[in-house]
Amino acid sequence: MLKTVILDGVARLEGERSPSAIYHILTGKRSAQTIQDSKLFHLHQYFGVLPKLRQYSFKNQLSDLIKGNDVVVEGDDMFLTDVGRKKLADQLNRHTYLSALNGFLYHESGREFWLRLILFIQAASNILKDEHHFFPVVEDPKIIRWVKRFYADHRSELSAMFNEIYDEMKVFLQELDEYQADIIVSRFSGYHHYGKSKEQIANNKNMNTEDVELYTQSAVHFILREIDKTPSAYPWLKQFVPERRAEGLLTHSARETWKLLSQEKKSIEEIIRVRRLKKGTIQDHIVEIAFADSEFDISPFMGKDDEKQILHLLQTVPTRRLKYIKNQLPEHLSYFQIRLVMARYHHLVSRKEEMASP
Amino acid sequence: MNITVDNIKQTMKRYFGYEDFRKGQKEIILELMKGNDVLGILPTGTGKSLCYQLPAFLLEGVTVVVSPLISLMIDQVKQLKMKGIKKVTYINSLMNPEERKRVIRHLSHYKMIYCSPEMLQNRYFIERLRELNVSLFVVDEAHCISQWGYEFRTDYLRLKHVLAWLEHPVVLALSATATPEVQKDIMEQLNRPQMLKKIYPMDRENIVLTVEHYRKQNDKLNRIAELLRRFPVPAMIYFSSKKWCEHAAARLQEELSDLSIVYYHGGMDKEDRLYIQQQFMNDQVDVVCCTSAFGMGIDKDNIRLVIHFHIPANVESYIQEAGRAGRDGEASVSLIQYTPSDEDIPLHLISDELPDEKQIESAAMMLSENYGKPIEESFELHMMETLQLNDIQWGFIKYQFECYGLISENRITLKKSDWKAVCPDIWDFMSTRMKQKQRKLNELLSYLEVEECRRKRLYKSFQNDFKEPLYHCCDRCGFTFDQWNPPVRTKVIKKYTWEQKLKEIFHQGE
Ligand SMILES: Nc1ncnc2c1ncn2[C@@H]1O[C@H](COP(=O)(O)OP(=O)(O)O)[C@@H](O)[C@H]1O
Ligand SMILES: [Zn+2]
Repeated sequence: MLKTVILDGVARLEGERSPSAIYHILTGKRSAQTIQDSKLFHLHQYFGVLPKLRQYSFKNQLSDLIKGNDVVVEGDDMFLTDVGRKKLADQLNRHTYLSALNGFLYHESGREFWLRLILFIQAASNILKDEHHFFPVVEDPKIIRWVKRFYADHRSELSAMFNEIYDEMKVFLQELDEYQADIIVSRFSGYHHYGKSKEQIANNKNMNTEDVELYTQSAVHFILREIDKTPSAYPWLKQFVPERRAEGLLTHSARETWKLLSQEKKSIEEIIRVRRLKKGTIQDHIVEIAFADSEFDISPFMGKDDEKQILHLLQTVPTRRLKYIKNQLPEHLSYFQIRLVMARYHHLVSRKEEMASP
Repeated sequence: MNITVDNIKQTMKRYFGYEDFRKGQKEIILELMKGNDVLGILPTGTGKSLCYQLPAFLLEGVTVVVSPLISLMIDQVKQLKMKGIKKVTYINSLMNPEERKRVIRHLSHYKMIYCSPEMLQNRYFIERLRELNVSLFVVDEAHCISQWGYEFRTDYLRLKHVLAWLEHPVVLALSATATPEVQKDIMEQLNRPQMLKKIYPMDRENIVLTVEHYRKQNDKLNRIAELLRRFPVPAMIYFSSKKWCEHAAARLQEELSDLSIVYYHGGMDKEDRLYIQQQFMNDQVDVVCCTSAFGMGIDKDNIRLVIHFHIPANVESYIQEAGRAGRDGEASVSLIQYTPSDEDIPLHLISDELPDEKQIESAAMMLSENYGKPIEESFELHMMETLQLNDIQWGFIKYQFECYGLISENRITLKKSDWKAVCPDIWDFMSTRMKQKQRKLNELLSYLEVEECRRKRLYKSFQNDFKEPLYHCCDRCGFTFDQWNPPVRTKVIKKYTWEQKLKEIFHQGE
């Protein structure tokens, strides 16, 4: 549920960031700050899962939480109360589906996968009954083009393929709990049948449309993860997965900087000249790149000893407040360098966690 | 060009699958093919769009269709594409600028281009149109050009200039409701006094007209529940606010669990709206509680009952909305529900359509501070946001300023001193518009009160007589719901598990 997600956000960002940081993560804002926040504070699973979330819906939910004494907001700071902490633990236990979310990895490909899937199911279900006139449930021309081509490529084996997709889908749906499976299937359209809209499902189940979206996204992310793990088990569905690119999460401008930096081997000073941007901006880009790319080499920007010193401090202090950290370090170390090491540190920690988990 | 009725019929059969013309279609198409301008007044649902879609494919060159109904234009393009007619596109202000640019860049690829009236302000677009050979220019909802009509759009006043600029293509002006006064105005405003008039009566002989009075709003809902329990038929219920739509749908659904009742209004997601619309067409949904945002492009022929929970703002809107009932010719009913002081709502809505004096004044000040600068989209959005204007209100202001030369060639040429001179004229114009709208509302209110036959009164200002009703006439002529026997579909609402639903969609186990 959106409220649970917000509580979780507050829990991880408390004392460090203001509520709007949660909003930006949920909507997947393409800014260096948001991308870093979501990684630093382990909120990447929620990154971009609700791109259409309205500011006022977010504020409404938050103010409900404040009224219910779960969350306290003072100026730019926010905290979880004990009641809120208990509620969060309880809700995370109940809504286990939330743990399948992996927005950072799948928020874009997931959406595309879902649209391709529902449009294809609608089309195949109709065409197999000889109905060629139906109103497509997806309007995005890019998706329509893809589905048309996919259909054209497999026209001759449509019926057999459709049966096999049914089998593949069923495996996934059976893994979900009944409630979630029902939401997903209600959204499918087929021959002489239009699926339920998000708002209809929300009204029937007495939840918000955002909750319906979270249920859907988590199911989709779950499917994508399974396909990533054993693609050979899903010969048809894996073809619906769009290709992902590593630079996908960078802002457009940072991507330009990346090109100059890595392909053309330009220095910061040269990039500043070529792109006519401020030094701070280019540095922001580089930090962004360091967060997106776990292999990014930061050694051109500082000596080994400086890096070690910063790293050591990061391992010992509980906060990610830059100002505080900077004050603990020798004068000559810049914010830029600290942020770069934060990115390295982040990758180190995630790698450790990955190895630790089964 | 030498095209016979047979040729036209063949093309129609091939692309649209229709065997015969409907009333008016052949006459209008033939005139257009001969190169004559036509003013066509045909009631909703009779197939106005075919009157230009077919010539678009028979004529050489491009057909441009101006329509203010964006969702309708999107639907039509989709439907044409579904029929295998690919060289059509639309362009409107709701598209993102990149998409719009892409379409404009490829304009020469299309046979048919739908556009919304604001696009007529877009010089780049108009210049590109001029490079093409526009052979037919269609003005849909042509009554919007007239200040006497029920729905006036300032952008339509630009049409005259656009037509001249495009070197006078053949013009087809279409509307479902236009009084003789409005018809005359359309021809004058388009500067085409020689247009051939093809006017078809709009009375519907299978729709019964009724009005009921109540004391409280809640009585209305109780009455609806009672009617739907007795007559579980496909129905539309019109409301003037989103809140009421949602509230009524929830309450009725609670009381009538055998029916599927939903709501639809302009505040919903595009995707949600599409689903509801298709479910209704597909008989998955029985009753839609809606605002006037619903219905455009609804092409469902078995709607039996149209209820106006809130009164419409004028007779024209009423005729259009009630006319969605009984397209298949079966006996259908239109019911208007009235409680005292219901007219306050449309009165309020009317004043919402125009900006108020303070907003215009502030707009003038903001513009004069930016003297000499071009008006860019971001600036317009900023204005609308700061002054709390909707796009119709801002369109009105912009057009007025252009008329008085305060904006020209999309640049601000307004100085503070000019403003003083023109503001009385603009106030005058606004108060005339307000009075006009109120007059229209009064017309409807007096229709509610008539003692004589409702049919006689309703169509009076549009046509001289009307067809003999097929089933019943109206409550004044003695109709009560006891006399109504609509076919009732008994439907079992199936409670499926997700496994069963999935099987059905994937045709498993059949
Ligand atoms: N000659 C025809 N024969 C059969 N159906 C037709 C014919 N012309 C139009 N239609 C159908 O009538 C319906 C209404 O047409 P439309 O152009 O949307 O009406 P209008 O714009 O007048 O409200 C559409 O479903 C259309 O397919
Ligand atoms: Zn009568």
